[in-house]
Amino acid sequence: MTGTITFSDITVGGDSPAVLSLSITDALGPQMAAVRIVEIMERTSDLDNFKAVCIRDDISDPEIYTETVRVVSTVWDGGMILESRNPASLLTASALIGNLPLITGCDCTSLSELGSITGCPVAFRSADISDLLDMVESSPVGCVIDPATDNMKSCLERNTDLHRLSERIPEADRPIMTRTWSGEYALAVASVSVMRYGSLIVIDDLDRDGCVILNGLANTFRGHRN
Amino acid sequence: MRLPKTSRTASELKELRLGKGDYAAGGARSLPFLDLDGARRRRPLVFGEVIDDLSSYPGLAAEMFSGRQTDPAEWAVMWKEIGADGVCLRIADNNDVQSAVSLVRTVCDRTRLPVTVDASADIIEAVASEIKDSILMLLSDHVRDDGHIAVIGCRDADMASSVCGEHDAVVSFGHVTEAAELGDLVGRIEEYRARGLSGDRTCSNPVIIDVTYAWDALDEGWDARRASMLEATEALAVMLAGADMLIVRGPGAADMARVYGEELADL
Repeated sequence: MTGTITFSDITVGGDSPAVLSLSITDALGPQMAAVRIVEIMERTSDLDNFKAVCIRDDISDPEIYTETVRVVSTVWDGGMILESRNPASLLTASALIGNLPLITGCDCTSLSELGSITGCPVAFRSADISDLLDMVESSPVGCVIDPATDNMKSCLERNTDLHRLSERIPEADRPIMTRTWSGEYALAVASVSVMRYGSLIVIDDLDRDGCVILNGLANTFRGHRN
Repeated sequence: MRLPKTSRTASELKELRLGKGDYAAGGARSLPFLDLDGARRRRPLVFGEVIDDLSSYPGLAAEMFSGRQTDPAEWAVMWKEIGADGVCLRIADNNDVQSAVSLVRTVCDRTRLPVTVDASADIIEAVASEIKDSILMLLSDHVRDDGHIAVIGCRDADMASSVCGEHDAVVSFGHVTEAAELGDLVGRIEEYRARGLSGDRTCSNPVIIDVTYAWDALDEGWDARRASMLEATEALAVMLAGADMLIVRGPGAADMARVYGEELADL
């Protein structure tokens, strides 16, 4: 069984089914982000594992990012993942949200500092497993680990490696996060992760059919992953 | 951080020759696709389903074969054209034995692909005795010693071990019937694989899994795309569990399963 963390009152890891999340980019602008979150809610409201949304900073404007987060948080009361390369954007945006979001997107040092300041759990990302576990070792807060998979093959290999390491190294005993894109191939990568130890899956976008299939898979493989 | 090695070694599983002898299934020496464990670069074989009686065949699936599904031999050729590795020929019980044998012979000759035959016992035995220039996979309840390979339906690894022993056969753990049962099926495949890889020679035969159920479970509002996506996802699940061969219904799922297999096997 993998370790667990909690963000936005959602438990990730352990025996829980994989938590699934679609994404909202701030490039939409705050007004369209409001439309997008309603669309996501309509698409996934009956799918119990779509518990979070990821708000992604694509245009590097702290004001727009923060405003996008504010607009989404007025409508959405589920889990929030904040992703930005800019620590200042994450700091300001996380302060708007009452229940601690998961923060990710910038370097390890910044994430650790932000975690200390805000109390938010963080997601470390690296394709190098050794580096990734160094980040965990130095982290003052709870974290998930993202082995930066870029296709099905690397997802299978790195998730399995981490799972095996978790039986021997405490730093590896963290929920695994997979970040993937849109469409049918994204569904395939997400499916591999759900079936091979992934606990948190962030997808840029997936249509209703893909959401239904992935949600069913997350329930089917609940507990099987351990 | 200095990391311990996580690779694992395992016994090599049995490899069987199929068709004209130019296709091989099985032979794994690791958990599926894991380079970490020195996986063999081989993807599962994808078999396209052909049925000679379309009365209960889903219309949505039939539409994808451009009318060629009305002639089973032509349908089998179409599967070859779209890249399938084999044909799963399902012959209705009411078919007369000689025309069934003739159909199997035609499919073997025209496609030159491995063929698996799902039919009544009398048709299976007639096919086995009359076709000798192709190694067929024949649905049977016993192992065979006539040059063909039995496909034996087994509940679990214990049953597969006791029915097949160390004889050559292909083990079928049935098919996916609904989402909740996929995990159970995957568990049975994984257990069989794990026993084989740990050296149990009675659990080392190739495994075939039927993932066509997605098309039988069509709810209102489903379309061919959604059924194909579900079929492909279930194919991916059983491939990751260790299936060596898949039986698929939709060309889209067949294509996705082949591409997924190639990527995972690093081909």
